[in-house]
Amino acid sequence: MNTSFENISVSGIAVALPHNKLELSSLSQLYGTNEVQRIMANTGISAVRVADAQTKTSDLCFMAARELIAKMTVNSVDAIVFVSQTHDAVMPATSVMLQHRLGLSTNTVAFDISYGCSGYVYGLYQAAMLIAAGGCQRVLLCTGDVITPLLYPTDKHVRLVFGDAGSATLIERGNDCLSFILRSDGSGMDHLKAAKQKNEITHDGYLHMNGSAIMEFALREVPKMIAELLQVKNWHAEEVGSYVLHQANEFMLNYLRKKMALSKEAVPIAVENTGNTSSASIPLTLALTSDRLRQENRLNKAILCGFGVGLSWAATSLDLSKALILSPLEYLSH
Amino acid sequence: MKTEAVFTELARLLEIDRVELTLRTPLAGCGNWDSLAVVSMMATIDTHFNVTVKGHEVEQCKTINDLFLLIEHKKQRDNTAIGE
Repeated sequence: MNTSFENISVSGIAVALPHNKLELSSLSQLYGTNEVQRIMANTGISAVRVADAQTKTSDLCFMAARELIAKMTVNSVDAIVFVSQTHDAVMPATSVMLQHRLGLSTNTVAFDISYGCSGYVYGLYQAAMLIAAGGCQRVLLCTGDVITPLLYPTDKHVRLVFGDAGSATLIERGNDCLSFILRSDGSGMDHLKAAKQKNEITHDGYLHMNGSAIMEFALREVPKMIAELLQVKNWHAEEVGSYVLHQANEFMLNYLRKKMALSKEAVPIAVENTGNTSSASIPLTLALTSDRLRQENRLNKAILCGFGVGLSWAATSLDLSKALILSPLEYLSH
Repeated sequence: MKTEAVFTELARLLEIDRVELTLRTPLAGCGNWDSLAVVSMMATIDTHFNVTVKGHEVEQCKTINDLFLLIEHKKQRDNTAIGE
């Protein structure tokens, strides 16, 4: 699917992280010091945030949304789109719980979408469609996961990579034109998955990742999709200030950057203290690096690209120069 | 040069001195020859030979020579595809 939406803008972004920080070096006893150091050196991840047992994805998104709405003095939200793989409950939809918790009108349209690493762009697409369809002036997009409970304790390849985070983004009528490319390939469904029920013997119900298959998929599809989006926009690669890619790990991001011949400055990497935060990784990267990106005038032509579980991958082009991007908030459960 | 890049990366990944590596060096059995090493090797091959190899294909390589045979095989396949 390739499509564009006129007269829409992303106006604000906020992210909340659990307060509890897990230093990966503290897992040396479990996995061996050399092994942890070796993996950390490759992934570029030295710590992740871990939600406590009481904290749900909606708590993180709620905090981010409440702060964003307050800072932007927003007085109405017409729709909430919640993108996650770790919804608070089987039912009801987490988006509906958020509508109530945020004190939004019962006129609000609310629904959940189940997506991971590509989810932020999918959420923006959904929000843009809601506005373009005419019923909504402003949409609140919440994305994120509390994924750490799905990491099997002895599976170092996921435990040393994934962390928890939640984000909130406001999308509204404006002057920008967002172009999207979205792709799906369910033949890769086994490469990144978690079954519904946990089984301690088979490890079903925990996150399973085939790292090399995901790498191969990303190398094959991401550069191709970004080249296609540049063509759609009629932009030269160098005139795009920021390519904010899903933060899988530093190795993959550096590799993709080199393959696309992009500068270090244009491809922010922000995994060191937060790891891979699924559908929150793109807004989190913006929250962690927007001061520099803004200072260097890199936000007016930006490309966002998510890729992963599904398999699913998506990219969008937009102007973030006027968006309010807050520094990450810390969530402390009570 | 390209061949040397593979050797250099393997020495780094396997934490073995470059001079100790030969085409016959076994990969399977090396403690560090795991999914992380496989992913790094896929990237190295893609960078230096411009061919995409699959993770399971790299995993099946028993020696360094097998890696080069895999690269050759992929290059030939790509050239055939261009010829067609």
